[in-house]
Amino acid sequence: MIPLNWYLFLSAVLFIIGAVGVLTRKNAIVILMSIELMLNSATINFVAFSRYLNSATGQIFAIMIITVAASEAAIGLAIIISMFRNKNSINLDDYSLLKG
Amino acid sequence: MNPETMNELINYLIFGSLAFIILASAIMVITRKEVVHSALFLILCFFGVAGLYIQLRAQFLAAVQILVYAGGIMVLYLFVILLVNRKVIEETKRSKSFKKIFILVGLVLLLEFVLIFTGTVLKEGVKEKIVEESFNMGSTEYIGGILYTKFLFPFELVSLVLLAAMIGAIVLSKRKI
Repeated sequence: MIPLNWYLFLSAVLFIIGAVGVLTRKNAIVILMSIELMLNSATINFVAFSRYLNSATGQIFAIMIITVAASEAAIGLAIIISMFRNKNSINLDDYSLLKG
Repeated sequence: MNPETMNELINYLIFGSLAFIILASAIMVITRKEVVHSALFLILCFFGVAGLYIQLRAQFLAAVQILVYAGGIMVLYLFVILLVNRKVIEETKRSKSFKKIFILVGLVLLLEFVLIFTGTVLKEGVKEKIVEESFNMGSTEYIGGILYTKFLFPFELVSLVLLAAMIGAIVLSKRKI
C-alpha cells in the first residue's frame, strides 16, 4: 500500500505547476488549461483521502469538481471567443484597458 | 521474493510511472509555445490521473475522467484553439523578467506545502482505515446509490451550475442576441 503522503505530494507539485503556468503564460487558453491542472490536483487529493479514510464522499466531491471544471471551461472559452472577436488577440498583455 | 512484497513493488512501480507521466506532461503543458501541443499534453496528463484513480480503486471516476475531461472538455479546447489561434504569441520582454519572479513564487509555495505536510500530516499521520475488498466503493452501483440518496441536494445544485454555464456560454459567444 502506497502511503497517503505520496499522493499529497504529487498533487501539491501538480498544483504548483498549474499555479506557475497561470502566473507566467500570456496566452489565455494556456492559462485556462493551467487552471484545469490545479483542479485535477485537488481531485487527486479528494480521491486519495476517500480511499484512505474508506468513505465515498471524496469521490462524490470529485464528481462535483469535474462538473464545475466543465462549466468553467465552457464559460472561459466563450469569454475567450468574445475577447478574440473584439480585439483579434488572446494575448493578455493586449488587455490593459483598466490600467491607469 | 514472496508474492506480498512483489505486489507492493508493482504498486510502487505503477505509482511512480503514473506520477512521472502526470508531472512531465504538466510541465510540457505550461512550457510549450504552440497551444495545440499544450492541449495534447494536457490530454496525456488527464489519462495519467485516470490511471491514478484506478490504482485508488475509483473505477467509475476514472471512466468519468476520460469521458468528460479527455473527451468532452479537451475537444472544446481544441475547437476554440482552431478558431482563435493564428500565430504563436510572442512573449514580451517585460513578461520575461517577471517569469523568474513567478517561478520563485512557485518554489516558495512548494516549500510551504512541504513544511505543512511534514509538520502535520507526516508527524501525526492520517488515521488510515482501509478495509481491503470489504465492499467495492468505487463501483458505479455504489456511487450512484449514494449520489441519488445522501447527496441528492448537491447533485441538483450542480445541475443548476451546469444550466447557468450553458446559458452563459451561449449568451457570451453569440454575436447578437
